Amino acid sequence: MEQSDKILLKGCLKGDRNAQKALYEKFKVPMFRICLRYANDRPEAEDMLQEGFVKVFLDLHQFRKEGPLGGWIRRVIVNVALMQIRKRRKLFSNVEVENLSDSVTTDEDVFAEMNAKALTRIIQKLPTGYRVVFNMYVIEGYSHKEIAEKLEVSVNTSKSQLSKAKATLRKMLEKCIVG
Amino acid sequence: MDKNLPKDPLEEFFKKSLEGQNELPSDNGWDIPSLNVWDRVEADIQPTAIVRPINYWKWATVVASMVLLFFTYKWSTQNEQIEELVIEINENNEQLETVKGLLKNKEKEIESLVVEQNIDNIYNQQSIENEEVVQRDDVRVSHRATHFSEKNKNEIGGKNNNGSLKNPTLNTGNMVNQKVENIIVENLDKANFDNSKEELIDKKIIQEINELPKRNFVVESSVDNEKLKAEWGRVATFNLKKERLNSKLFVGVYGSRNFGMRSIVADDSSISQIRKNEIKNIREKESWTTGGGVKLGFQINKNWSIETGLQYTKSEITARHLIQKQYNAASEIQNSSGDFENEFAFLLVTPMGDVESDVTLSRSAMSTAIPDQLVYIPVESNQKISFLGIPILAKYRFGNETFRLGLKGGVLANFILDADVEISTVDTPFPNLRHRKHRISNKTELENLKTTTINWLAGVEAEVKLNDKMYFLFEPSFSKNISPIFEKNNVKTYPLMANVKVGVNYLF
Repeated sequence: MEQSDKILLKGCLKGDRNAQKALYEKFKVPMFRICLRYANDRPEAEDMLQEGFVKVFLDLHQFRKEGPLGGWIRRVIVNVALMQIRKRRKLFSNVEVENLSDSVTTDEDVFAEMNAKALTRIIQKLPTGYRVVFNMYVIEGYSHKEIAEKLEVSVNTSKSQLSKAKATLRKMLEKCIVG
Repeated sequence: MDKNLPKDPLEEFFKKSLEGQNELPSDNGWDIPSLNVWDRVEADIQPTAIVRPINYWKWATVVASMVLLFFTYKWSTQNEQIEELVIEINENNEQLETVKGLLKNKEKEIESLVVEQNIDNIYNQQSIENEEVVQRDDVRVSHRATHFSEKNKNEIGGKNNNGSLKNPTLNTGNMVNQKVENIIVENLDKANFDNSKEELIDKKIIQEINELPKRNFVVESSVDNEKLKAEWGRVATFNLKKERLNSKLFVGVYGSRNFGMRSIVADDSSISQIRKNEIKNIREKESWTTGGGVKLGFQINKNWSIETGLQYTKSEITARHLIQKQYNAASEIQNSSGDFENEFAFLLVTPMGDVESDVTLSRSAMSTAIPDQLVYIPVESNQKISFLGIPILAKYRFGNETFRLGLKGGVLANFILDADVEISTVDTPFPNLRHRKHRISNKTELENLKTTTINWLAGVEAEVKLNDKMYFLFEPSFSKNISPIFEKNNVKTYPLMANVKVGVNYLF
């Protein structure tokens, strides 16, 4: 753990408001990006970020200092985002995506022109189930088994949601590129 | 989490583009949350931010316990005194009843003698009727007095109805009662039946009783209608109270232990809470301090006394401060040895006020430059501050000769004598930054340090008698500054101090 994180952690554990704000300021941007990927829109992402940091401060004493502080905060934020999504809507609605095909190859040169903001907005447009599984598997690095346990679905559901998510993304990317 | 890398180019592309924890926002700021998010977070975590507020209930409980203890003690000692008094009165009444019985016998003897004498007189002086009466009275009186004197020499207690001798002392080992009895008997020798003389005798009895050492007597009397009974039908109530020695002046020496606290007051309670939290964050460690002094007291009456003296307090506090500052590389100054220095001002919290101070962090010219950023610098200050106090107190004490409890209250003026403050960093925010200990050994260097403070003081005390002149004393007390020692943005800081004195009082 970084020296500055140690000092911030110590201050936060004592309830020092300045240290809490400094911790928030340090991690708000990367954590907000995560929230944006899980949320439908910006207000929802801000709600996730707010609830996520509240949980971070309340549960900070549970942090074991075995890994980086940022990694622990990230896991808390993702868990809060998942909880909010499950509370607010049905996770896996029936969405028909036509002409699904995993075999379609992707032109990386075209993708390279897309920036993080655009990609995040594209992910936001995915149906909730696709978006969650895609984020968890591709970005966070969860396995299908772990996703299935966390979302209380079967491994096959996780796999199919990922497959559909990727197909949808390809379709959306092509549309973006074509115009 | 799964460590397997995605093989799909789409997955790789998204992962590469979106992963990472870069803390800097993008140029167009799309990934910066609204400012009000922190306000909402802060509002939600508010309860956890309150770190150990001053527990007024705890102090209220202590005060309530002391008050309860005081009244319980007062009630129990009063009951004991009443019981002792009732026993004494009963003993005295019993003795008086015995004396009354004894004297009734004597009265009968006297009457019979008077009758005999009168008969003699009648035989001897039959012709002068008027003088007879006068002489009869004179004879009776003188005869009676003589009779008493003679009888007292031989049989002080007189005889019972059956003719046996009564115990002449009539005492139960109580020396005071013996003396009282002797005074009464002596005065009876001079007994006269003239009303004015009776009063004189009463006064003399009371006067002599009052002259007895170490005792206070309250003598109440009631007079029966009958003349003879008037003398012996008196009910003398002896209110025997043990009185403390008549010392008026006392001096004392004591050692003391003190513990400092703070009270933060603001019109807006939320501001006050923030300041409290700041203080809590600053003062991690505060130790008991030592002191001592001498005192001089004057006893106004049995219960009330006034007291003053000199009270020396040496305060030794280790306080930790967490300084939050923006590190600015541009403000670094190269010193004579070539190192780069950066100075950070902070508020040093001391028992005599909060004063501005600073720490200097330096790095070698060869080390990597520190980027501009918010840093937290833990600083420790070892404060040794000594001050002299002059208390002016009023005391109310009660109890018996061996153990007394008391309440005291008044003002305490503290004058700072010297201050020695050493400031050092506990940890530096970056490994290549170092700090040299900084020492302020002169109180004048600590600007804004209050040189004089006036405090309210209240407390309780217990005294245990060691011998006729010496008393062991135990005095817990509590003091609070009348005016704030630090005031900023309408937030006032008042230092409080709990104090326990242990020592001896010497009575003159």
